[in-house]
Amino acid sequence: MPRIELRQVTKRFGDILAVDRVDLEVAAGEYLAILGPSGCGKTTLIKIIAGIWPPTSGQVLVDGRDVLPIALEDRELGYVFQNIVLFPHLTVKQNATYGPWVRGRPPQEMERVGREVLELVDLLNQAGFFPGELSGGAQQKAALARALANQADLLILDEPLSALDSRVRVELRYQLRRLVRELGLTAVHVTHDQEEALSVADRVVVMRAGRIVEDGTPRQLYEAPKEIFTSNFVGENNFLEGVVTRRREGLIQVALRGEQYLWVPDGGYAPEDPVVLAWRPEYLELGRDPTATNTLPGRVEGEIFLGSELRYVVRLATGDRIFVDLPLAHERFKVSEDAIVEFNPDNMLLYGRPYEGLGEALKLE
Amino acid sequence: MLGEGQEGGTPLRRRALNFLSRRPVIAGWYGGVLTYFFIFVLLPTLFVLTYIFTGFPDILSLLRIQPGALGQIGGAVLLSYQVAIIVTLVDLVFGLPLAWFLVRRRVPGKSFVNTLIDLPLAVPTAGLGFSVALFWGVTPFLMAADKPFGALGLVSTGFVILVLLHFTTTFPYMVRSLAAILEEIDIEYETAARASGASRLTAARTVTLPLFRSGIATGAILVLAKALSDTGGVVAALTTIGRFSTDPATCTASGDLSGTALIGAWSALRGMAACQDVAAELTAGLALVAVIMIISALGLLAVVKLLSTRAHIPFRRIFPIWERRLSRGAVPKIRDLSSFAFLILAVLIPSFFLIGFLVITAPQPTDFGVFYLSIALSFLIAGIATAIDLALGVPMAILIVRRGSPRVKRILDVLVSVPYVVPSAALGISLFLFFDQLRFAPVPNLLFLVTLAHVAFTFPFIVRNVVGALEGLDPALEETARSLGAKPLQGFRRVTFPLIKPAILAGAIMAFTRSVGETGATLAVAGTAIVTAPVFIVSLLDPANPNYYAAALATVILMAVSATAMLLMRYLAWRAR
Repeated sequence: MPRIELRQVTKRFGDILAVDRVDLEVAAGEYLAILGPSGCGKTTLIKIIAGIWPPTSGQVLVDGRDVLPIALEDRELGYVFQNIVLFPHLTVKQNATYGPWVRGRPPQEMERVGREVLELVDLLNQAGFFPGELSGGAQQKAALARALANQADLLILDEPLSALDSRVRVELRYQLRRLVRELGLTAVHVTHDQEEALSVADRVVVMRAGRIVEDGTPRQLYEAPKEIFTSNFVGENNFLEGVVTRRREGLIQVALRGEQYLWVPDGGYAPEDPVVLAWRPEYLELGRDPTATNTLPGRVEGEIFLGSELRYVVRLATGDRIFVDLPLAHERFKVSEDAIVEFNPDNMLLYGRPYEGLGEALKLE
Repeated sequence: MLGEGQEGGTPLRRRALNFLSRRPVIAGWYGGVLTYFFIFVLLPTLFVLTYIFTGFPDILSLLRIQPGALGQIGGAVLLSYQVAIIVTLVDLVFGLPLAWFLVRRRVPGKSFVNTLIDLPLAVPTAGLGFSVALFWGVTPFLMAADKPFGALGLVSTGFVILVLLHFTTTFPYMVRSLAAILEEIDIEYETAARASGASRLTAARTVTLPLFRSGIATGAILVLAKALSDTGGVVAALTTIGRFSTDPATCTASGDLSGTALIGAWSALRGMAACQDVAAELTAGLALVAVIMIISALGLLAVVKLLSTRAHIPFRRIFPIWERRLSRGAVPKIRDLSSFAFLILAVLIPSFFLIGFLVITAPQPTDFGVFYLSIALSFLIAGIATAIDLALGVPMAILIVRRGSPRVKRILDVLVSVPYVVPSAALGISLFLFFDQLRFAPVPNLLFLVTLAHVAFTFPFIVRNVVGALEGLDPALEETARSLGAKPLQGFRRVTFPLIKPAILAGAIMAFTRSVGETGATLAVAGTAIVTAPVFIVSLLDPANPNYYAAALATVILMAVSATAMLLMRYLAWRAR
């Protein structure tokens, strides 16, 4: 199983800096997801890893060996494309055996490999069809079979599921993870869908504007994102901006807009520091008791039915508009009703206020 | 309502718009377009086929006075096809790498090469034939002192000079049409193939080429048709190397005559006072050549179409090591260099060789009055023909793409292409016969007939271009405009038209330049009575009284004017985008 290492990889297209001095390691046998909004340079990065584009500068090592001089066709890898690109004039089987065919393998071996990979993706019964006769999901499975037929230990997936319906997407996500595990591959998977990244990968790298923002396991990124950008891009968050006014016994008092105050764990911040407090919608509580601690008053402005939960849109006394997700069994509130929002400090994320401003720091580009 | 507020400035204008958008009016317009197409383009094109029956006595009479005529016709048509097929194959071999290079590579100066390739298209083929023959050929009627520097003087046979000439006239078409379709093929297919372990060569031949076969068929048909139908260049080149002559005393033609050369020769003889006695026989001979060429051109079209749909991947076996070796290092460089060398040696230098000749040769007395008149006449005919093409071709294209059942659509599509592949000289004969037999009283003006002929063979350029653009356009765009309250005409004018304008302009450029450069159809319809610029150039090369200086001057001036017009149109098209 190959281990990949990028060193200071940079790619320019004219004046545009698509990838900016990226260092990245992918361990042997690891399933890595590269997650970022569109235009962040993640596809460029993966094309550089695969050898489709050369970087402007920097190194790409596989098992410690510089692979940049090696042409795309001589790299040992399987590549799955976002827009599928099955060869339309070849059948599913011919597509799947394209790799062995162009490498001049004997017919018996082509036959065996074709059978194996089509079985893996469960397409044997459609082997004689042309790509145009398949559903989108089956097409991408066939493309996956074609990539696997190269029998390489490195699988590169460039937004493999974005062109598919949501149901099919979830199903294929599961199959991908299973296959990579079973075959013992190293996989690099690019996506803009945070749910996909979290559910499929061992480790997720978050990219923004050509740079890596943060990396970690899916749980780390969701529960304790170090960067405020990640806290918003992975999952959802409610942000409250304020300034520390007092500090006492490991707690700080934060002054919010509208002369509202909250006491929260200090997180290393001192009086006068501008901070941002963040809670995910599902960690907030909505009640009617004004005497409870760590609460802010607000008014329900609307409700959105999410299926398993009910989302309340609440306008706080600070002027901020936040989302509170409650189970359906929870006590109900009416629109325009006054309510008390409870902010449990245990679930809070605390950040210093970004110097470029909160809106700028959360922007996707 | 918004559309009306903007468009209908005055009540009169709004009412006119409403009227023009009414169903019967639009239907009438489409009906008119179709009627014109059938009566003035398609019917005359195929009319000559009936002549075999009606003109049978004349044919017999021709064979009596010129026993060798049948053999001459057969030999000429055979020569035409030999030349056309060889030219097409060689064009493909060198055109593919060049098209590939122009589409897939990002190199500075690419747009310059693009313009350079197009330039020979602006030169009338009669001028090109002269230029090519001066460069390659043995020139018996040129005084030694006037031999231009760099002239090779190698070729003395008609076959070779015609092959060389047609490289010049067809290679730009081949590269253009291959590049246009290659542009449409997603480069990701090649990337996917290479990521699966295919070398560039393997990827190209197993993936891109099979996807590309319709493009190759289109290019091949275009080149075949062009090589088969050119008259002016053929006559000019053959005359210059002394392999084309007409004898008014016996009313016969001799030399290495191809099909169109024979048409040119007999058309000229038919117009001469000395040959009025055998005019009917010459007409019969012309009709015979035309019939053979039309039928064989249609047959060839069918064969190429069939081949393109039936063709499979050549050599299913893969030789990975060899193909890999051929994909790297020196081989691709040699391939690219040789196709550039071909472009320079076989296309560019022969095209512009004339300019050098003009600089060194001594001026000869020239009748500039006739010359300017001929240029004005050429532009007048081309202008009117292009205008008619536009008025009829755009609705015709809309009709093909947006109306009717798929079957009607396919039939119309093929019918429109018929004048495309039929040699324009044969088309001219057909048109002449058609109107001659109709016996209009008074016999329609020759200029009018020539213009009609020019419409017939330039019409497909507009239709094809606009059909291509419309097919790439989402009909939802116009439907959206209609849903916002735009009348059909407004929807077209405000939404569709701006989007297909570049294609219309491109089609107009092609039609115009093609008309300016046309010799065969003009000769076939009017003999030498209507002297357009190419006819004038051909007449200047007459071995009895050659004026090479004037021919070169006329060609260069025409070259400059057409090139300017082309660059201007190209600039306009670019700005419209």
